[in-house]
Amino acid sequence: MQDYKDLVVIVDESWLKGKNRKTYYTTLQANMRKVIKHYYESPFEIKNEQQRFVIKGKETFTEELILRLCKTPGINSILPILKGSLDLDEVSQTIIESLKSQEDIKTFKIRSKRVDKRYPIISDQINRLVAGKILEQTDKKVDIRNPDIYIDIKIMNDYSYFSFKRYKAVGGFPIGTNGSVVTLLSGGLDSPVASYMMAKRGSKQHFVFFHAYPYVGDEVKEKILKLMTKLSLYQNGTALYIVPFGEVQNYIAKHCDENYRTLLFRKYMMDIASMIGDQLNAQAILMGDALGQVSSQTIFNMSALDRHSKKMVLRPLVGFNKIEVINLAKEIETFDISSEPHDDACALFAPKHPILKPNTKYLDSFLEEHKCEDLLEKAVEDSEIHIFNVRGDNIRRKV
Amino acid sequence: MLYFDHAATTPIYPEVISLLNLSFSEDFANPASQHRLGKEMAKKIDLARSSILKALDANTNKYQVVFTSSATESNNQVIKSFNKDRILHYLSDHPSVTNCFKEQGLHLNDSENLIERVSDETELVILSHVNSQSGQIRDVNRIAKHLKEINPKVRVLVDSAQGIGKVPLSLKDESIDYLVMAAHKIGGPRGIAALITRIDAPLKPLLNGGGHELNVRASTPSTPLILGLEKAIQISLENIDEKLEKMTIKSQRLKEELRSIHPNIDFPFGSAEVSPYINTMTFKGLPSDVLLRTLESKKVYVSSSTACSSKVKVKNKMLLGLGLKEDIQKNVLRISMCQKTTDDELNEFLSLFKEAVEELSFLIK
Repeated sequence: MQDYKDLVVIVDESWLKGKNRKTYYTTLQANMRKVIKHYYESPFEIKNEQQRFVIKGKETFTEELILRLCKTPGINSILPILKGSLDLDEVSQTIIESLKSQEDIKTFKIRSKRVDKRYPIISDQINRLVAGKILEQTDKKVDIRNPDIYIDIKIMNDYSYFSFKRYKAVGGFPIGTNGSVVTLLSGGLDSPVASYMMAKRGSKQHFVFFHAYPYVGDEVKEKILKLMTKLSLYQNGTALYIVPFGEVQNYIAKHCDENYRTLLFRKYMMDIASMIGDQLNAQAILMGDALGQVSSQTIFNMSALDRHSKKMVLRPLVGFNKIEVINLAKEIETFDISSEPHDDACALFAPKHPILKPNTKYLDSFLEEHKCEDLLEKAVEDSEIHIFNVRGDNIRRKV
Repeated sequence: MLYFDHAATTPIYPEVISLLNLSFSEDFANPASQHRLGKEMAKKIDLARSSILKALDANTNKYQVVFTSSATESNNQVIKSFNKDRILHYLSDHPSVTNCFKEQGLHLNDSENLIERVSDETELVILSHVNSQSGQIRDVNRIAKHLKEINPKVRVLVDSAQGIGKVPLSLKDESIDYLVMAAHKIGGPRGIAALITRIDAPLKPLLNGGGHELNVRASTPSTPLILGLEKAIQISLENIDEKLEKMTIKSQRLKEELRSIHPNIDFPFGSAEVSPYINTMTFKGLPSDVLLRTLESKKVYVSSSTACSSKVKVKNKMLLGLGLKEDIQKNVLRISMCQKTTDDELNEFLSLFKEAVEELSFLIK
């Protein structure tokens, strides 16, 4: 375990902002503070240094904290600072060993600074000396304009500080800077990835899972709660609404043309998500649809649903291929959880010939006749709410 | 609440609860202790042993009772006392039997003739008295006698967890070497079971420890649980034939009326030689777990397979052994009653069952 002293946090897109940059920085700083407080007991301070923040603490920072911070949207990368001797050979060797294991880093730039001006060689000489050793012993190249990693060396009176390793973070914008949305979560592969995509763009999310009890068992809830432990990390804590949906499904199935079942289930799910969104002041609902993936995700069905949606619908995966979704799911560690088998009400209710191109007249008149307001309100009221903290722990359950 | 899952476990009889309450506060001493209090416990336990043997017409010079924690433990202990390659059993037996075997042992489908398979090599034959899933009754005394005519050295283990106290069984003819039963299936407490063995039959301890339970089952015996077990046996054996007759009428009515609710409902195991306490149906086109949960939402409780394996969604070897093909296995529902199930409860069950099926009618494929 390395003895990490300070952490340099490189800010992602927010630094491109103009006059409103301050808002983004303040939010990111608050988000980071919330995370650090959960993983670090000693006092710490966060200094804003334009494109980067420097986090200074009394004690050393653990890798667990660094990895957790990497899941905080808005951060591009984190460079921990190590305390070393004044022997540049020794410092270089530590840097070289670390660089060798960081295969994604191809280019570097050394930036050194002498706080103690009595040090026998000047900063430029330090840069050249260390860079020369790295070039000798690794295949990394120098790039002074746009390096993959900045290696900072600071010479103090009796010791040195230096950075040597880059932890890649999720990037994008800080959570809370791009509105609030309600994410429709299923046990499948797509919706967790969709959530991640919008988390990176800074959308605060609350999650809704539609529990088709008695058509599916309570086991599926465990799976959803497991997925939430991963997704809530990107949200700095959040809430999950488990909405009892069986009664609504039963009603729809009994009253509609069989082929419209799945489409209508989605329509009423979107309505419920919008209702919850109203309570939470959310601007949009978020779904994991990919165009043409299944019959309910044809462009005709999507546009029919959007026409009737009470809120803007975000579908960040609409142009994704399955393999792209799978790769991202693996990256955010939801793939294995999503792949666990579970009962699926959709399969149970699936009509033989699900509608691909809905008849506008039929759909409009059905929705006009079956507003189901009471049924939907009851479903929202009967929701079971789970609260997750920044560690992804399910800390509270409200019924 | 309508509880129709008595084959999984039963609520404790009020008489047994009263006894347990009293006994838990009074009968705490260790029966192995040498003081009077301990000796008194040992005496109570011994009385329970002879009462159980007597209730099953067993010759007390030839049979003994070993108290264990469960029928699963008892089955395991007997099986592990033998060379598994020389044991003959059915695939339809309870998982506490079948899961003791991997590659070893000779496993039979219900359609296979046991008598043809037994040889001079066979050391142990395992018979389910009443199958926990199908309710099918085996005439274990007759089969055991026949087996011993072929191979006099063969030992017979009868798993009667679903039989004792419901379907008459006797140890009088001495054809059975081991009899397994558990208290919780007949209104007794969970955590106590009796393994009745012939004194001359081999039995190796599963646990090493003090010399409790005739040196074959280390662990301090729980006097209250043992007394609870004995009481439950007494209650359920009382007028057993009459109760069986009444239950048969209830079962016939249940089956008839369920059949009339939907044409896809079938009782694949027939009704001859089937315990009326266990009524297992298939519902073609409707997954039984959906029906189970719909009933559960009406506070009606049944099983979609044996409780011990209901989470297993892959093919069920027990159902395969009973001749139920994979495509129908997820449509199996077990409705099990107890001696105390009343006509009113049955009526209400039938009406709520009908309601559930009507609610799910659009799903039936």
